[in-house]
Amino acid sequence: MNNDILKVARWEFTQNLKSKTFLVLTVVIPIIIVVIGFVPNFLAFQGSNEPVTLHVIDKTGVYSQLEKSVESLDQNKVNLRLAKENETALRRKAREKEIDGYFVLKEPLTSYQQTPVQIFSNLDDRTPLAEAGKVLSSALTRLVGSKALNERGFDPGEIFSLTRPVNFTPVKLEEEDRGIGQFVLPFGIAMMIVLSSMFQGSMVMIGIGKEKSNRIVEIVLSSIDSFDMIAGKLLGFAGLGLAQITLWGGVGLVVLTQIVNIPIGPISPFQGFYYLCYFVFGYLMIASIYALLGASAKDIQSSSQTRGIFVLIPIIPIYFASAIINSPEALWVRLVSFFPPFIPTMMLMRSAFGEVPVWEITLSIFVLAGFTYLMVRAATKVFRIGMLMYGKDMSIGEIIRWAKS
Amino acid sequence: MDILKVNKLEKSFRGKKVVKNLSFQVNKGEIMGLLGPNGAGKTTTIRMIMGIIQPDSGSVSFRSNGMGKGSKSNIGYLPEERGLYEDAKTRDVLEYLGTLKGMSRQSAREKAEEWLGKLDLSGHENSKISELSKGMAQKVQFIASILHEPDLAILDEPFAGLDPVNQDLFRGIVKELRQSGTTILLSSHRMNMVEELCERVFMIHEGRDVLNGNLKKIKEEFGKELVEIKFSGEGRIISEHFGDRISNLELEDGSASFYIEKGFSPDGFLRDLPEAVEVEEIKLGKPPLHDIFVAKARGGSHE
Repeated sequence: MNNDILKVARWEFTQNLKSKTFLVLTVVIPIIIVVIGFVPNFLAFQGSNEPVTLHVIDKTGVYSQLEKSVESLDQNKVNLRLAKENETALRRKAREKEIDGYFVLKEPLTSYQQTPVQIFSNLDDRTPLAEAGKVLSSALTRLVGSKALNERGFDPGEIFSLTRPVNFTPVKLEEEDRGIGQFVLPFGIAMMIVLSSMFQGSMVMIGIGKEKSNRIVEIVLSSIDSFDMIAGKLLGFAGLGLAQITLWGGVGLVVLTQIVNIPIGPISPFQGFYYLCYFVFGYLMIASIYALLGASAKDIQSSSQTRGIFVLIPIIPIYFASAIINSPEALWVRLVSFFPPFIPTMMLMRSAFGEVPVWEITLSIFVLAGFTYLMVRAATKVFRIGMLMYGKDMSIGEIIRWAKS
Repeated sequence: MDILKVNKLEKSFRGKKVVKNLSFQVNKGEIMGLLGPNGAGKTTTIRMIMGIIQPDSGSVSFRSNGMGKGSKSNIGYLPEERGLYEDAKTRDVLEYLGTLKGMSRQSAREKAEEWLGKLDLSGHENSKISELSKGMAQKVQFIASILHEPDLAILDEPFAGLDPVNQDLFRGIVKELRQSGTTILLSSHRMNMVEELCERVFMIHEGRDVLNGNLKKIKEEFGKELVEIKFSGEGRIISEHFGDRISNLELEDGSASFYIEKGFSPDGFLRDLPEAVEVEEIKLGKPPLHDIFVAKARGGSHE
């Protein structure tokens, strides 16, 4: 490789590795993302594990059967207590949060098939109540059925075993073999590629904007070729991206395997190969786009204002995440995953939640590599002109004209 | 013998020709002045010489070769626009820019420290550029342009923004560089500096060559003698008596300065002086470059 490219790459790598921006992007922002993204869910999950205790005002005499029915459901969502106080006292206690809540059972029980049982509670978190409601619903339904069968002369023991609830639980066939660790890895890598490419790309864009504003670019270009300058920059920031991903990946693996205890399955050589391809080409593509935007803008403010919309390109596939999780093989998902800017994220997410045919992975890598080559070329050309075009933003027409020149 | 040769350079921006068929050469070992009013095309010409932008037509050769990587490493460049990596340390910046010019890191570091000492910046090696004063940063940028001991240094407005003390310092260093064998192409608006430092000048106006050659010869060819007198008597008589045989008359109480036009000698002036004006002191000289510059920039109104 050209020596000048390595000199620029080394400079960009060492200078930016020490910068506060890199520290913030590598440590602080991921912590914020984890805190904002996972802690509420974790707390909600933790909260929903706590059973609620509900007091029952029974005007039907079925309390003991209901309690038995609830216990038979083998759950940990709700505990029942037969109320010893009147409704007014219970309502006051519920309002003051001295008790979790209460409900009233009246005759006839079958009337609850039309109108719901109301659980009176003042708890802030509604999730445990909803979970308790589901359990009580099953138990009461069973009770109503049992009572009807009993009236028709069935044996109580027989009724109990006949009305045992039937449960459904979704099991994805591939997950039987793959386990959770199998999709954590590609999904995690996809997220890391998106974040790291965006962070490094932004740093490239800001760096170029600064060099353009303070004209240091003239000194550098009076020493080396413009291609070597931009190639060195892209390479230097690729090194930073790799360092960032290695750090995140290392911490993530330790957390997953040692703390959360999710086993991570082995990666096949082919998987390793295409993860690397998606990272290298994905990063180069995004960083080139950002470099082009930085060089074509008047200054840093302008590049972040007028070009802000393009910065969102790499994160767009994340909005499709739930659709990809639900149906990774859907036709539209497969088609969108071949749109070059989305390829790395979409393909890695698809491979996380489904089986992607080898030919699709191979084809996508070729498409991505081709598009990346075009973007690097375009960025180099626009960079050469744009870096010396002061005081004015390049128009889209000019960008296209110079990129094609 | 020329070290740099510019041949028929042309450049247009958005259909407007800003450099028109420029040709000149810089001889080995000399200090040559590149002059011109704002917007004349000096910086564009320099950028084309440095290969930062490509000319539409024409060529630049350094020691009879094209401007490849080898040539760039032998040329130092101080741009008019000042700027460095604000968040980087002084020593790191100089080391990096030195290596881009082909120096080893070790030798770039040693040379940087030597020059920082020479320009009173010892102790600032580990300071960030943003922590330096404007004058200090300017010194660092100057060091960056000559750190690799180039054969040719192209200095675009090197004295701009400097206080008088640092102007003297830079002027001394430019002379030292020349004595040590570095050829210098100096672009400056400071005419006194150009007159003091340059043997030859090349002046462009609206992208075109308007003056080119030896400074002494240019002054002679300008064809006017500058007369400064101190006198007693009626000064206005000078203007009334000599009419268009003199120009640019600046009259003050007891003193006057003016040019005597071609074909009218200082002797003739003294002989023809009316008795009402008694000369106490007279000084004859060649016109300052400033006046030639202004005359040429205004379209040669004195010619």
